[in-house]
Amino acid sequence: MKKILIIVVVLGLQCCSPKLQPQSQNYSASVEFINKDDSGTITVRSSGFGSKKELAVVDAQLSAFNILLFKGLPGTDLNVPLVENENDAKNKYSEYFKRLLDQGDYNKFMMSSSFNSEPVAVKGGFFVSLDIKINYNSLRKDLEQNQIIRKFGF
Amino acid sequence: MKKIKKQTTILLIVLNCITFSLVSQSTATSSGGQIKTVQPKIMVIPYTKEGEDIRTILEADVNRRIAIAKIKEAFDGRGFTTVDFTAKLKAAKDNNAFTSDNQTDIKSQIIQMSGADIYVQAEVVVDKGQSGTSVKLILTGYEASTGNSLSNKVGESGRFYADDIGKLASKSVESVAEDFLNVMQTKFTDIVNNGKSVIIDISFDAGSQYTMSSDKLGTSGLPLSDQLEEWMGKNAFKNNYHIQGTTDLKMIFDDVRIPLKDQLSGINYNPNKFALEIYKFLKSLSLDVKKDVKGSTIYITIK
Repeated sequence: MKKILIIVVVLGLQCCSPKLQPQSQNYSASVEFINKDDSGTITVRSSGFGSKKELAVVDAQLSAFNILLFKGLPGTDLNVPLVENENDAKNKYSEYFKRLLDQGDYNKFMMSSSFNSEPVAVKGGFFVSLDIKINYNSLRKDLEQNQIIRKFGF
Repeated sequence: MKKIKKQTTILLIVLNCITFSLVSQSTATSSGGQIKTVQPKIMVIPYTKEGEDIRTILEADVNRRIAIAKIKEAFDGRGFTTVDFTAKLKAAKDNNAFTSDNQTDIKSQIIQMSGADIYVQAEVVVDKGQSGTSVKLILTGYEASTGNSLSNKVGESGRFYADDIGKLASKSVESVAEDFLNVMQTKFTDIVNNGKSVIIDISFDAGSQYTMSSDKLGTSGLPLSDQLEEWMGKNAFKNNYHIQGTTDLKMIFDDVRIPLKDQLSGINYNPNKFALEIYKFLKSLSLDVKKDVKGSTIYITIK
């Protein structure tokens, strides 16, 4: 009886504990500007880590998108982030960001993604560095159409 | 009895016609309850030095035209239509709208005439050296009524062994246009959240018996200037206002925030509506008042 009570308490505590943050919440700031070939696109170098190579690649890609969306890249056209307030936006439009970041919708705006160097095996997984070309014009339009951000003007 | 019946029928028919015309008129202009926020009018103008003729400068200098066209292209890329400076200039010339030969006056006259809320000034600087040519672009965005700066950026084309200044000017615009618009958009967000800025100039007619220190107005016994400030504190959007200065004969509020939309009805709000509120308040103090609104500046004259 005592054992059952302990199990119930442990399960109850697990249910009440805050949910783990999705992967897209924990992103690295190691994203740097490479170049801007055409207007509306930007190429960045982003690094990622994961237990498998594929996961490290996704981590790098998510970091690049998260930085452009919520932090901005100093010294570039996207000095100001596309989304003004990360926490507010993620709370208010959780479905959109879940689709965009966690379910891989960001791929629609990724024109290319290539290894800058060979993936490096490190303790606990792999470390990758990618050159990613992003169609940020199209990304901004998508954010505007879904009313995540306002169109230019009032 | 028959006559009364006939008259009633005619009256009913007339009333029906009036009602129908009224209904059909409102249906024609109705947006089905949708209210679209009135967008600011933005105009891109060239920078001119002292004495330079703005009327011919664009025709003579293709590089400035390229720079302006590229800036407008950046606005278009964000789905925003700007007021065409060249067209306004031509219209002003055709209508002989200029009342002065002073270049500075002409520029401000065009801005005023166009009804632009915001103007973006573009200065193109060509630097030719032994190591090549570069074009710098100074972009400054202002709120026309208040002169508040909205965005400032300096673009550079980089140095090239090239004579195509237009191409370099174009590169220079491309290097900053996006960032320039992004900064401007953050200022717009501030306007959406904290209201639009208007200037309110309150003065007295030459023959007026009142001054700002008149304290026999209303029931509070306070000087007029204090009553005005109290009212402004209550009615400015989010209690956001700034007084430039008060003298016995004048009071200037150089930054009073008004909402973009009426907080109760949700319909678009403008300086004219705010001017009417001030007018009503001063009328309630038994003052004879004249109001004028020019762009985002409200002029109140107490008679």
